[in-house]
Order: sequence, then C-alpha cells, then structure tokens
Amino acid sequence: MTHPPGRVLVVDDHQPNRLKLTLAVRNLGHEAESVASGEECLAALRSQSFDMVLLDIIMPGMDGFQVLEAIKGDPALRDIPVLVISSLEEMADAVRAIELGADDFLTKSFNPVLLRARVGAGLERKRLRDQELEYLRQVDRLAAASGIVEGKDFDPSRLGLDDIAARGDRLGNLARVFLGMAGEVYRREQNLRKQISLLKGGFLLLLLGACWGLIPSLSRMIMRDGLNPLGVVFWTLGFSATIMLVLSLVTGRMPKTGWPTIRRYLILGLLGGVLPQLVLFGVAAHVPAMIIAIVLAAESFIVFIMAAILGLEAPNLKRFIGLSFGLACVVLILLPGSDGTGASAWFWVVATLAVPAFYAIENILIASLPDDGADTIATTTGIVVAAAAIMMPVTFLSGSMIYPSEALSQYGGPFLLIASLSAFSNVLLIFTIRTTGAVFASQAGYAMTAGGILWSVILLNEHMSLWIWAALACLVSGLVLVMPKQTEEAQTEVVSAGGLAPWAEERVS
Amino acid sequence: MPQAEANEAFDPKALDNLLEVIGGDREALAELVECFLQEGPGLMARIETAARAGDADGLRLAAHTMKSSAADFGARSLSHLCREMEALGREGRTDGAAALSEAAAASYQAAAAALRGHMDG
Repeated sequence: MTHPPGRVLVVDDHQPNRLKLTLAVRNLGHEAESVASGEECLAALRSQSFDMVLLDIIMPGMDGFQVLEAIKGDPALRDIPVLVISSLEEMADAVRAIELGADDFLTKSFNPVLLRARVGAGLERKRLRDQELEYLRQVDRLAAASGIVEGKDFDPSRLGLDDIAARGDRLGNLARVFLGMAGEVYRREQNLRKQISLLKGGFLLLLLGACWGLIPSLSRMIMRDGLNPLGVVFWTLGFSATIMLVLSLVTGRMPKTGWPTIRRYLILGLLGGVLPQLVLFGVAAHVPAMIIAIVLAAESFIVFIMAAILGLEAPNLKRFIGLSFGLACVVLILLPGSDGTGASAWFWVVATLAVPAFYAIENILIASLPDDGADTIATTTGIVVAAAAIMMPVTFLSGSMIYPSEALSQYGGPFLLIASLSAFSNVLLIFTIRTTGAVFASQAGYAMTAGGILWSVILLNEHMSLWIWAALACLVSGLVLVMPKQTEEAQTEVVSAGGLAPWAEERVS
Repeated sequence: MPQAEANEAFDPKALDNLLEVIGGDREALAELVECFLQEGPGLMARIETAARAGDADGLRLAAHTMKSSAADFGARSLSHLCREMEALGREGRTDGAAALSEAAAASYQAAAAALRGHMDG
C-alpha cells in the first residue's frame, strides 16, 4: 500500500542516527527534516507544519517523554502522530511512551518494511484526523454563516461557504442548499432595493427636471423687460453665493482657502458661473425658453468635440454618429419654419450655444485638474462665491448695476427664485447621484430638457412645432450615442460649479 | 585474527542492512559511515570521561548512543561493551566502567579501521 507523501520530523541527539532515519524516511518518498534535541523539536513543530514525528527517547536535556508530554498537552500539536524510537532493551520505555500518547514505537535496528508500515499508518492517521478536523471546522463555519444570515445579511459571497459547497458529501449538499436559499433571498432583496431606488430616483429626476427646467423660462420672463444681463447675473450669483455660504455653514463644509485654491475657484467661477449666466440672460430675451432648454443639452456634444480635439478621447464611430444627430438638432432649430426665424434669430440661437460651450470648457478643465479631495458642497460654495466676487467690480465698473431699490422691489422674487433653484438643483443632483448612482443620475440631462420644455409651454405658452419635435428626437438620439458609457462603479461625486451648470450630464460621469 | 573474532570487531553484513534501509544509495552510505567515524571519537571520549569521573548518568547516555550506532555499523563487540556500560549506568554504578571503557576504545579503533578498509576496498 502506498501513502501520499508526508512531512516527517526526525528527533535524535546523535547525528549518525538522525542521518540514518532521515535517509530512510526520504527513501520511502516522504519529506524529512531533523533536529538534535527536544527543545528544537517543539520549536520546529510550532513554527512549521509536520505530519509525523520520529522521536528518540533517551536524549540529554529534554528527553523523549518530556517532549511527548509537551506535544500531547498542546492543542495545536497533539494530533501529530509520534513514533518513538527505542532499543529492544527499552521496551518499558516504549510502553511508557505509548501510555503518554505515542502512536507506536520502532526499534533502533528497524526493518525497512516495518518502517514503511508504521510511518505509513501514522501518516494515514494524521490525514484522517486532518480530514475530520477540517470537517468539524467547516461545520463550525456553516453554523457561523447561519448566524450571519440571522443578522439579515444574505449576500452569498459574504458567507464564505463556496469551498464547503464544493464537497460531494451531505455537508456539501447542506452548504449548497443553504447558499441557494440565502442567494435567492439576497436576489429578491436586491431587486426590491433596486425598485425602491428606481422609484426614489425617478422622483428625484422629476424634481430635478422641474427645478432646473424652470430657469430658462424664468430667465426669459425677466429678461423680456430689457434688464441688463450684467446686473441680473450680479444679483443671481449674489443670492446663490449667500445660499451656498449658509449651506456650507450649516453643514460645516466650508471652502478651502489659500491662493492656489482661490485661483481654481476664480477660473471655474468665471467659466462655469459668470460667462454662461451672462450669455443665458443675454439670449433669454431673444430665444424661446423651449429652444434654450434644448440647446443647453448640447453640452455633451461640445465636451465630446473638445475632448476629441485635445486628444483626450479616442475617435469613436458611435459617438461621431451621435454628434451628427446633435448637429442635426441645431440645424432643425435654425431651419425656417421653426420658432426662430431670420438672421437675427439665427444669431441668438447660435449665441445660446456659448452657454453649453462654457460649461463644456469648465468640465474639461475640472477633469484635467488634479483632484484636490475637497468636499463637493465646499467646492461648489467656493466657486459660486468666486463667481459673485468677479461680478461685483465688473457690474459696478460697467455701470450695469441694478440698484437694490429696483432689484429687490421689482425682481427680488425672480432673482432669488433663480438663485435658489440653481443652488437647490445642484445639491439635488449630488443627492441623486449618491442615492441612485452615476448611471441613473446621468439621465438628469433628459429630465432637465423635458422640464425646460414643459415650463416654457405652461408659463410662456410656447408651442412645440414639428421642427422642434424633430430636433428633440435628434437630441435624445444623439445624447444616447455620444454620452460616455456609464458603469455602476462610476459613482463619482460631482464637482460642479454649483447652481451654475444646469445641464450637467458630463459632470455625472 | 580469526574470522569470527574479526566479525565481532566489524561485521560487513550490517552495512548491507543499512544500505537496504536507506534505499541502496552507496553515496549516502559513505556519508553515513563518514558521519559515524567523525562522531565516534567524541562519543568514546565522553564514555571514558564519564567512566573515570564516576558519572553514571553520563556513562549511561553516551554508552546508550554508541551502543545502537555501533550495531548499525557492524561494530558488534563495541555495541556489547556499550550495552554493559549502559546497564551499569542505569543501575547508578560505575565500578568496572573504566576497564570496559578501555576495552571499548580498543574495539572502536579496530572497528573504525575495518570500516575504513571496507569502504576504501
């Protein structure tokens, strides 16, 4: 009968004996190590793994009996079989050793066949005992897993039972049944969570679309009175900055200070706050809110064009087709028969494209700047305050100031509403991403466009011509193709110019 | 020296047994013999010292070790002498151990010479 190879420790104080036993054990196909004393034996057993010990009884220092007592008294070692080596005249010693827990004995002048049989039997006992211990350990793990399930954690990957389930015996079957049932409950639980998250996400998107979509209509309503865009932006950014500062104070997330950070805020505030808002309020008097809502969604296309030009994005046929749809959307808006007519209308629609273009530049900039690890709300506050700070001297020096007496009495409500909607929508977008994940939240752009169109119909009596419907269809198709593929893992936080960038799909990615 | 007496000093058949135990590897056998011959003088010195000093336990331990080793390498008479000394030591006695130790030293020398000759031959 052949036995699987084992690892044997030979313990003898006399070197020729150690060498003889080591060579004899290796001749049987096993691995053998040797030590010269009882102390070394215990140290080796505690630091390495052995399947059996061949132990001389009579040794100076710690003798074989003491070593045996130590091995059998140590729960970590007591299952290692010990074969004591004695001479024929020391039978009493061999008997005493067996009484102390030795598994068998061998005379010093042993026969190789007897050595094979006894070492083989010892290793087999060890193998069976190891199997038994492993079985008991697996039973314990299965019992522990039931405790985890009792704690309402049904995730099969966290139960750690895969190796037990791979067993072919009844324990394996029990583990498979247990895993199967836990997995089923886990899947149901996950589905339920997804449904709840979807419902919650759907509500958040509707709210987001309704809030942000209101801005183009509100802008058009106030700008038709012929207000100076500089003065309007001064007030809306001023209110936005105040709201965000209060939010930062309440949540304890104040922006960082220091020149590099302030410079960053100023650049982003200019690109994501001052310039797009100036253009937005500038065009709002001339372009229907519905078309503004649609054109603002072109941010994704512009980001893609810029990324392709800068070499940040590899050319991709699918996204180029998406871009073509985006261009078709703009052309359809500009075509005679749509709401804008004449060269002047063309100019204002093309000018509207500057708003998403500024947001796109801001996005590219944010993506290329190293992450400063700052909190989103703190960053947003910093950017909005910086934008408001830029507007202050610009408005005064250009003589465009709308003084508080006029601003607050006639337009205070709309200014505050636009600022509040911007701030609230921005915080809402962050909350939506955190609640539903980046994939779901990336639908925000559609919700905002839809909201913008809806409000323009409700508040301004604008109507959807066939051209606008076609443009909208091109927009949606183009966005589907051009937007980067989102993954569930990409639940990154948004660093946006808080309240300044209504159509924020790229930021969500 | 008559053959029987020579065999008592060194029995070559013992090496055949040893060779079988270690799997027939002659190089390993040579290594084992070399190891015995290196360890032997030190062990014999321990026996002699213990015998002269009346150290029964030291005598028992050293004689026990040499007894089985000598048997392995065919040094029968040396093994017998060591058994006697071990028995003395076990009883806590050392009387007569010095004479036995002297005889054992001579026996070891004879066995070692024969062992070397056998391996060289």
